Amino acid sequence: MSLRQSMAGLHTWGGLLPIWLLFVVIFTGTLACFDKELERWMRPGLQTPGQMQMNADDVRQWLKNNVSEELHAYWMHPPTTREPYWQLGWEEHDSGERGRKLFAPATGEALPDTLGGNFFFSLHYQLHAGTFGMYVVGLAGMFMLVALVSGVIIHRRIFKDFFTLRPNANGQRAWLDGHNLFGVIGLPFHLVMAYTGVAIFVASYMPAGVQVAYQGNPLKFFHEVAGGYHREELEQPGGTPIALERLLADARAQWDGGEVGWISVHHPDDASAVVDIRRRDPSRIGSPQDTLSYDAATGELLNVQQAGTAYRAYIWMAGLHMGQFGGSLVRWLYVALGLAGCGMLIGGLQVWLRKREARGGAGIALVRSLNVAVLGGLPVACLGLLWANRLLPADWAMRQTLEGWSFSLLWLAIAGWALARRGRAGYRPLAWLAAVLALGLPLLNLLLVPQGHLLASIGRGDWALASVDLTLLTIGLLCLLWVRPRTQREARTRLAEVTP
Amino acid sequence: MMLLALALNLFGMGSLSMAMKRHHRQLWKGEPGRVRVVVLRLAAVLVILLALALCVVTTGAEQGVLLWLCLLMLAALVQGLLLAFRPHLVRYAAALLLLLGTGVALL
Repeated sequence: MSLRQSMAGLHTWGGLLPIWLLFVVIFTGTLACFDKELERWMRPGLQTPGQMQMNADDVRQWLKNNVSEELHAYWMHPPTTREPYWQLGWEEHDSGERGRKLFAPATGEALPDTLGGNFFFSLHYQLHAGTFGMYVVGLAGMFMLVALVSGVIIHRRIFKDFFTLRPNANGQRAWLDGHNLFGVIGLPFHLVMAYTGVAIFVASYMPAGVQVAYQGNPLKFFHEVAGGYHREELEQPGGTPIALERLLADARAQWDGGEVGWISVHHPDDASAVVDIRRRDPSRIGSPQDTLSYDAATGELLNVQQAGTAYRAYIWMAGLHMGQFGGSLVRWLYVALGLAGCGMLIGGLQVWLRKREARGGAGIALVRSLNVAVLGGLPVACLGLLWANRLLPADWAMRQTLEGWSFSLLWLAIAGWALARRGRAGYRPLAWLAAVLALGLPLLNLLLVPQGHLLASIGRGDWALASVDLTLLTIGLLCLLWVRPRTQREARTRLAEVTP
Repeated sequence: MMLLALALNLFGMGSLSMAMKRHHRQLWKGEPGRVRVVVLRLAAVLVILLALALCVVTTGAEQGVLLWLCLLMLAALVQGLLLAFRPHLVRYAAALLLLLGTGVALL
């Protein structure tokens, strides 16, 4: 068996096995490029512009008044242009449970909970399944790397067919062209994203070495690698904490006016409490690694982070993957290329199907059903989540849970329907559903969100918020275009097939 | 400025595709001659390098190279899809974008 033949087998089967999972990862990763815009869209309280009256100490005061359990740590993000509001997170000492709150810029009130844009980000890297999910996604990423490299090896005409797409060729040929076009042209992006994505959690894949070298304390390893600061708990009550704003002012002075990106306080009730202040610099791909650590009571500067070259390289790769630099242009480009990745997966699946549908074989019905369930089901379920967010009353304590259930149940229902029909019903009903859901959301906003609907946001020049509604409208119209009566499509002048 | 870079990249990818027999036949009669192929490829390289220079000058080397590469991939995708579905637009797309990009860059 030649190299090319064996690689073809690897590409076919090693590609098919994780492909639905990869679609979930790439599709939600594409959505997560705009997670912060979705977050604002999903929380009407963040949509009204307002003068920010809060400071870090107000946020800490809110925590003191509202959370009585002893905390292991809490952290906050100050407002930025992209996220013009305070964000607070905390972890309880005994239960390890985490909480998160966002504060309305206009009033300083804590906003009601929702899954928010973070839902898509979490789904992207750990499938909402914690460490286990992170391993599963990491494994899928490694499969993707294998599929990309083996795909390059088996492609006989990478440069000759670089621009070739023959939509009117027979099914399998046309889909193979599509698979190749999206795969080859987007190859640098797919390769870099798969590689950096796998690399982000590199320290977790084989934890045994770290466990042995650091006597079962992997946190020590991370502190050492990052050049960070850590103080063991003293089990003594701490003194009166110093005002956070004073530390922030000091940090800004240390960085010559640099912006603060993240403030965290470890064991705040203990005498060992430390305030870490990290810089934010969106003009760089890798965020600066010069976190300042202060004593929480005296305000003494304890440590300036000194990250080694390897760690800086790691942060640069993570930054490249996450695209939090350089404004929305980078994120739109990532979206376009992420969609090319989705196109590559869809093309690959269709090639597998078309090849086998003609001559029959095992597993065809299963693959076809899974295609409808995942390629059609996931986007519709995401739209369903946005509907749940709009329709469930914000003051329900159960809202987050119900949002999650509406996403999962809608997806399960579509998957069940796809399996029951063995995938034969195709995508048209789902495209109808997607069109109705996507076009309905901006309309629903007109009724329900006086400050955040399309007319209001465009009127204010709030394009970040408006782009969510505009994208939904575009998706809805594209779905309608796709499901329009086929006769019209048949009547269209077809392009003469160009043969090589 | 980035629109101009995208336009230049699209121009480059367009020239590269026109240097290929199959796509040359789509828009013109017959296959490209040797000289034409060389000229088209040379023009493509020049224009794409110009786009790179533009990206690096406006956003710095670190992000400029990244933006340029992303725009280049996007331009190639657009060119491929145009050739497949709207080949008659290929003649105008890059030129129009170039005008638009220059306009936006000058404003």
